[in-house]
Amino acid sequence: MELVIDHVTKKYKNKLAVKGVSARLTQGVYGLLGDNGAGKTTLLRMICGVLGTDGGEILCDGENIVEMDDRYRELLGYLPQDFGYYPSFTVMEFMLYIASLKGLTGVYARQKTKVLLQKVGLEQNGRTKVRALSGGMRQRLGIAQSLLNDPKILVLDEPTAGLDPRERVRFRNMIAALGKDRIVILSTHIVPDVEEIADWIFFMKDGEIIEQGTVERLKRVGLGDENGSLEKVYLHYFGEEEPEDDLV
Amino acid sequence: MGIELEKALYRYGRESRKIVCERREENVLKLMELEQKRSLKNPLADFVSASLGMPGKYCVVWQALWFAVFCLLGRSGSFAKEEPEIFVSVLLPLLIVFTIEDISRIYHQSLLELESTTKYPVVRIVMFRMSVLTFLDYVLALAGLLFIRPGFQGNMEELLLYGLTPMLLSEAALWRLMRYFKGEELKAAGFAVYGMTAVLAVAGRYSSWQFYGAERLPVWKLACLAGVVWGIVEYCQLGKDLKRYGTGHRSCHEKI
Repeated sequence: MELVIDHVTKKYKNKLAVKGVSARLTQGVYGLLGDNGAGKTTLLRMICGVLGTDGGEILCDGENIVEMDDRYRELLGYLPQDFGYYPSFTVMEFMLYIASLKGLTGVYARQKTKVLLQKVGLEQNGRTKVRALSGGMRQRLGIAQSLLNDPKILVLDEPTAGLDPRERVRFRNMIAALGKDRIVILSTHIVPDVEEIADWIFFMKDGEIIEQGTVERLKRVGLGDENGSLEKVYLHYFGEEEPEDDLV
Repeated sequence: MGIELEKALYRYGRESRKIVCERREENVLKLMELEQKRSLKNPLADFVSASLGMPGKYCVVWQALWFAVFCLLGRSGSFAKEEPEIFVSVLLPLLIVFTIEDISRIYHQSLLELESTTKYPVVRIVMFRMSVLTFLDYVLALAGLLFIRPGFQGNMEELLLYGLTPMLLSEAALWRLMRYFKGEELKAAGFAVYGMTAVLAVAGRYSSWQFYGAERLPVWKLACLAGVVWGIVEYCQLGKDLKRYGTGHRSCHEKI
């Protein structure tokens, strides 16, 4: 499977949120790193078809995703940055609802839901109301729902927000395993989240991809040294914040 | 080709460091096994199930309770016998308030974003769900009106107009309000609309306005027609908004 992002542009009123971004993605884990407001979420939403493009196109195996319509959506798993829920739903009901929207029904949907809840450590919370879950648990539920249809393209927007360190490690392991036979794109501004698991990293700034490559390549290009940390590379490209006088 | 090779080599290097947990293969295999059991037997039934998306348990309970209370009071309550016009005008819109939360699911904005990336087009899902739930409301209302009909002095036309007109107008007003409020706020707005309807119904009987009576029936017919037209306009507008959703004309955090 191949996903081609071809000179994609998105404009909000007079501001260009994404400026002619191009990339070619095949199986693997892709990290999209950038500061808040860099255009990561807009780009991911265009990849998912939630937002249309103002220029360029996105092709899945050579076919425009807009023309593919439901055939493309069937391949897709998506975790929005801030996903909503119906207040009266329990964890199980929420999963079964999303499963039914993804065309999964009956015993299969229930079995898959149970396995995924177990995978994200929520097997004991099936009857808990979604609104009663903590931020981290809700995020794990979001990750579980994104995997319901065994997506060939998995798009995760800030998936580790709210997760504690142990959960983050578990999440990284899961994504590394999933990335073996599908395209996984995850956006974050937490550098260590992608450092260990991403096969390829994009640095995004002001709506543009300013640098890309494997971790080693980025370290080599950014620092001239493969032994430095990716965080240093990130700061090299995005600039280090000067500490304010009154905080020092 | 160079990038592909570099990426593959990097992945190979990372695999060899065994950073992933021991259980991952087991988990992935379990999921792959499950994937083979996936059935796609009945697309229509799957679509209906997806659209209705498990109406809230409480919605069904409230509907059943409403129907029981309406029938009970309508047959044996003294108020229903003395003031049947007010009785139907006040109780029928209450049904809408009970179901508005489920009908208005579509307005949980960020969930709409999730829903729009699933198998079915979000506009079809939402419109079907809204139509079915609304249709059920009116089936219940009609069944209730037919049930209390024997105790009503006037004709069936009057009973239908007095009952359905406030219900239609309240429904259209709430569909409009769904654009501005959601969740708990919408529920509160629903009760506010219902309160106003009830006050109007009572005032129309006891004040000098005198809404009820054979001489006012043309006005009731006009109001009923206005309610139907308003409802259709709001319904179509919603369909239009949802069709535009995802095409880049707006984001989900805008109007919808």
